Amino acid sequence: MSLILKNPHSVEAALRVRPADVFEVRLALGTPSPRWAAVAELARQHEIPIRTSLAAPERQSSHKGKSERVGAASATVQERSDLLIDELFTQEMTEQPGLWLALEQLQDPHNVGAIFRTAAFFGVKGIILTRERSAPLSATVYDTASGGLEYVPFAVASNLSRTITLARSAGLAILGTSEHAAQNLDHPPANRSTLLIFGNEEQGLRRVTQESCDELCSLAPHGPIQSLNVSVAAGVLMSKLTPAKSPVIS
Amino acid sequence: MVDSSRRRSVRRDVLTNHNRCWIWGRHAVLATLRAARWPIVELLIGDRADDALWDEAARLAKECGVQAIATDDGSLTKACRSSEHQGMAARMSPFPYHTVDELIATLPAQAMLVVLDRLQDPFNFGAIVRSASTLGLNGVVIGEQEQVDVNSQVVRSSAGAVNHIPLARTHDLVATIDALREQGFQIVAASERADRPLYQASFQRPTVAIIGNEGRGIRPELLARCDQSLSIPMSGSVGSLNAAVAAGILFYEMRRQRLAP
Repeated sequence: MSLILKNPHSVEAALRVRPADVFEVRLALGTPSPRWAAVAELARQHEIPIRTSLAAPERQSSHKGKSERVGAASATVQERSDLLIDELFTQEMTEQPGLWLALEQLQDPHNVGAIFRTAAFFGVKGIILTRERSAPLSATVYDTASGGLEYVPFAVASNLSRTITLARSAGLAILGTSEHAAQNLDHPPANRSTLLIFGNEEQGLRRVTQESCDELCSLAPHGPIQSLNVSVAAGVLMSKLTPAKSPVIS
Repeated sequence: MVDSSRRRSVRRDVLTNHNRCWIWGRHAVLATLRAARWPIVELLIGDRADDALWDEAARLAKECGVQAIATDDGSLTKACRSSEHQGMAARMSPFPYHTVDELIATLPAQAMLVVLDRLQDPFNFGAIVRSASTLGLNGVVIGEQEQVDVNSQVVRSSAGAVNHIPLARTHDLVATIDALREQGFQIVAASERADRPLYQASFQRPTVAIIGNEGRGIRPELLARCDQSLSIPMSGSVGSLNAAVAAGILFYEMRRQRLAP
């Protein structure tokens, strides 16, 4: 299936990683923004058709945030294909310590996209998503991820039980997140590979998943009752659990 | 009962943009009613609301001095121009921002604030307000130009936190930064281009963190007034952080240092 992407950063990343999957770039009439100009240049190098729309830009009268990213320009891009779960935990992948994420029934595409974007920044090795009751990997996810979907390998599973089994046998610690957990992660063990699992925005982790975790940590450590947005909490935890972080000086 | 002259004056104040003057969704509306801070002009409750919800909404509305009006889902959708209202919508007067002076007057010793320079995405704005509130900052300051206003989306992505953490708005962020410095605040910028990693900074002093526009960052006049620019060390090889995620990581570190023994 192909997607219509409207964020020049997500299009540029697709052009860099898999240019053959970019079918067409459409620009608005007039001088494109510097970002879209760079996209057009890359597309030209790969001999991808570039069209200029003569019609007035379509008005996005209705909702919903992201409006600064919604210009008249867009590109048609093939969905990126997912990997098998096993391919995320090969010996080669797990040789060096690192961080993997599993997203269980996350429903907001902005959260999923934001987590992919942050995961690329922190060098997360792979993301496993659940299929049912989860946000599908739509154009909104790609655009919110701002290229993150291209750089972080992912797999889709019907549930996380096999993921957890595979991760555990590859030597990863299984860390669940919960509003109710007391543990914070100010001093995570060094040189450990971790699978960090996030649950649904409202319900959190399923009980069966929670029970198969080695440890649970809090989503809003130090915070009062009200917790953090899941993509922000994911960012905080990724910043704590990825290896190259400079030592904390306080 | 509000007399008619008062009602007219309230109506004049209502923001004209449809999207802005309504908030909708059960959580957003209830949280706003409970906080009783942001004046509601009109409260609509759809017929799918069950008795418990209706009773609670009517009771809260009475405490706020507004009448809850029963209506059908179709009229609700028409009123707020969204079908995601979950049976509740409220027409709002302009958001009751504090002035910076009012905010400063309420601050405890060793306060932590965040200043947003021209944030444009309502998801980011809401998420930053939520993180600031959750991680114990004492207030949020925004400018007037090129800054998204508190709207329904912001209320929702803040999970109602716009009602709990003081929000101040000013026409002159530069003067505000100068005033805060005189109050003894250190001013730090979160910037991708900074070479000083966040984890080398100390936040034991009263601190103002500045978060810049999603595309253009912090404007030069503000950046020039910062004591230091901090970046979040990247451990991957590509990409950048979303403003709300970067803010969350920064606030978390500020709070962590304050709580560290």
